[in-house]
Amino acid sequence: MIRIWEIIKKDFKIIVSDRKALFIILAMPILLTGILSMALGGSFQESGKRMAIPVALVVEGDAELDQERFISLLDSGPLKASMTQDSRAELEGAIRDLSPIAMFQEDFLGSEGIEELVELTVMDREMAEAALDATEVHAVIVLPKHYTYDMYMNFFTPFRNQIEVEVLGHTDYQYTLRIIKEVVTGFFQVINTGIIEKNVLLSVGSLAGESEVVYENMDEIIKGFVGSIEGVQIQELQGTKRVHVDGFTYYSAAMLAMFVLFTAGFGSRSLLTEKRDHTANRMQSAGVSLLDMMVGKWVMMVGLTICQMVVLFMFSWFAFGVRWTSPAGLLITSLVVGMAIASLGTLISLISYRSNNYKVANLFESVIVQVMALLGGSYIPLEVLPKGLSLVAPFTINGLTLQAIITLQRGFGFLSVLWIWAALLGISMGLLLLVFGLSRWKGGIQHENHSMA
Amino acid sequence: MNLVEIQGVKKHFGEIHAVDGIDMHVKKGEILGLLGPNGAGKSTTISMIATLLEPTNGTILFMGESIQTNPKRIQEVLGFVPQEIALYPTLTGKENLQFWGRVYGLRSSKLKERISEISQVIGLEERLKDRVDTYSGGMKRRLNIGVALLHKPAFIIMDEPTVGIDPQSRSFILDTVRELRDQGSTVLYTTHYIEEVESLCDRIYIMDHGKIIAEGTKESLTEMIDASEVIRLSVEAVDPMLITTLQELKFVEKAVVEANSIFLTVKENGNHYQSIMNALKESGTELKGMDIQKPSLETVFLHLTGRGLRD
Repeated sequence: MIRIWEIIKKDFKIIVSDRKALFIILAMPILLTGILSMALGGSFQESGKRMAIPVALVVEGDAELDQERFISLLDSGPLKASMTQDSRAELEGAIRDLSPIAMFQEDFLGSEGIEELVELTVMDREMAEAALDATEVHAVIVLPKHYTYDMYMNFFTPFRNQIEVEVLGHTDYQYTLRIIKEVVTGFFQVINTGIIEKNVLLSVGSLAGESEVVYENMDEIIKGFVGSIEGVQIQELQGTKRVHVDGFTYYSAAMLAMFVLFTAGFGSRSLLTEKRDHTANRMQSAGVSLLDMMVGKWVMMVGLTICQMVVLFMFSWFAFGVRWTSPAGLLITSLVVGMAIASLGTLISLISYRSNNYKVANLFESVIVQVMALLGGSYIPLEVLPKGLSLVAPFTINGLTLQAIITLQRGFGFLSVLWIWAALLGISMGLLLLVFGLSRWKGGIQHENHSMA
Repeated sequence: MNLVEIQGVKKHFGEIHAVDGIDMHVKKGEILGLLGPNGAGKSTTISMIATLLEPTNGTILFMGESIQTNPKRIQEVLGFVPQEIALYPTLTGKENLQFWGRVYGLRSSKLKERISEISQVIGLEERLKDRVDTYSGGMKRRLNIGVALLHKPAFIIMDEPTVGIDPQSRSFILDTVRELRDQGSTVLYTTHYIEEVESLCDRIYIMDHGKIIAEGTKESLTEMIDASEVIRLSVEAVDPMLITTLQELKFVEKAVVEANSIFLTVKENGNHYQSIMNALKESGTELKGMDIQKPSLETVFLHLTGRGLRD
């Protein structure tokens, strides 16, 4: 264990003494972040601005028809008996003034606080479902047939009609779906409270023989509903400060995600360099096994990746003014990214060690890193890439890294990036299994690095 | 007492028999020379002793215990100086010594003390803070040796430690090896430089083509060839008929060709030169030069293998 620790310390010293490695690992991402942010950052919105959730509103019924149908109801049945002509005229005026759809769409979703969080577009159902499939909207709210009629029933009569509002979501935006469901629930909770209050008034008025007075003042009661709707607090939204990221933020994360791959490249050369410099032999003669060396280098790469990420986060904070919003989340991300990078580096290092050349490491650094950077969104944001290409991002370490950082930066909680952390850990485990398999392949690796002399 | 015993050890790399069934032993407190040309199997042999390679067959015992079953036994007391410079070039001399010292189990004040002592022994006190890649070849060689001596090893293996260095550094290294022996360490020293073995080693094994072809002290080995002197004839071109003629001379024990030289092992002193000149004249071979040597390890090797050490 002590020897492994000494190997880790020694490898860190070697990196610190290697100016070329330091330049690639630290200076290059800083330079490229600056260049790419200046060149391509215009397409990003202002950093820190809240990001609205695109939502489609589908109104299935005919509001005018519902309104006429309800007004005709005033002249029949029990309602007619409980109203004078004057109160009926006042009530009809109140009904004509009140649009339950506008109450939901404009008074509620358009209210301060919710308006900036929900970007609403009215569509028919077919269009809304297509937009949802294409992730152009993240949720669809469907107001059912007879919504207007049922709402009038609930507002102006002692009766209650059940209203079932559908909220549809995309599997990729489960968290968003939860928020929208809470928004809708919040609205109907307020409406229900108002309805109960109104029914109590109607009952008291009826007992006192003054129902008509209640109907005459129905307009004021409904205005009270609207006022309370605007004050609805959606708890889920209070906890989420979902924000846009600007060019500097995006490219700080994107370059970091790309350049951690070079840490794997650097680490992958280390073992073969020990073999070529005969220090591996010397260590083995002192009782240090190849496994000890590999464990040491794996831990070194984890540590180096974490250091690299922390330095780049701090640098972008001070130099580019990027205000990282979730230090704890970024630290956990750095740890799991470090593990995945170290495992990738260990696999390449073992291949290089066994093949006794740097071809695979060279190929990785010169070609594979660039391809992964492109597919993972490091050069061009994934939204801009053709859909087929952007689908590969979740299978790349840098793509996952970038996604985790940006998701955290947009204000999502740990739950939203949990799957990314799990995926990175899964990649790490998978790569280590490959390392294990390769180390056992063709009789193992303990005694093969010697030429005859 | 034997520190190391090698019994019937073979090492095959596919079809190549790098070491082909050798028996040898290393006595405690001696400098044992392992002499042979490049490709003789010396480095493979010491790699097996240093636990870097596993023998294909045979047993290696250290203090009576098999190193194949318990490699730690030898690793704990072994100082290994590889033929190549096994150091970290971008680290300083001190950082290298610190790292290797810790690998050998030294800590804190003991490590500091040994680094100070070793840097004096290898004459690098003034350069310890410099990166190794700024050192000369001789300085790197000395540091390469110093690293192996940090933990005061009881058994030191040195694989051609003087290859490619200046005479001053070579002399320094040879003196260091003698001092180590005088301090009680056992040294296994491989080289293809005969003069080093002759001046340094208490006992010598000569290897060729993966086999031990002779063993003994310098004196006992030179006595093996039963010759009073070795005559070397430098010629323009070697005529096979001339070799046959020379071998038929009754005072010639053996005639061996190496490049454009003919080595004649001569049994007894006397004036043989007229007979040699006659043979040259008969074959029409032009003599470029001739010198007479006392039998040495080089001539022993030549006698045993029919070729020179630097072939």
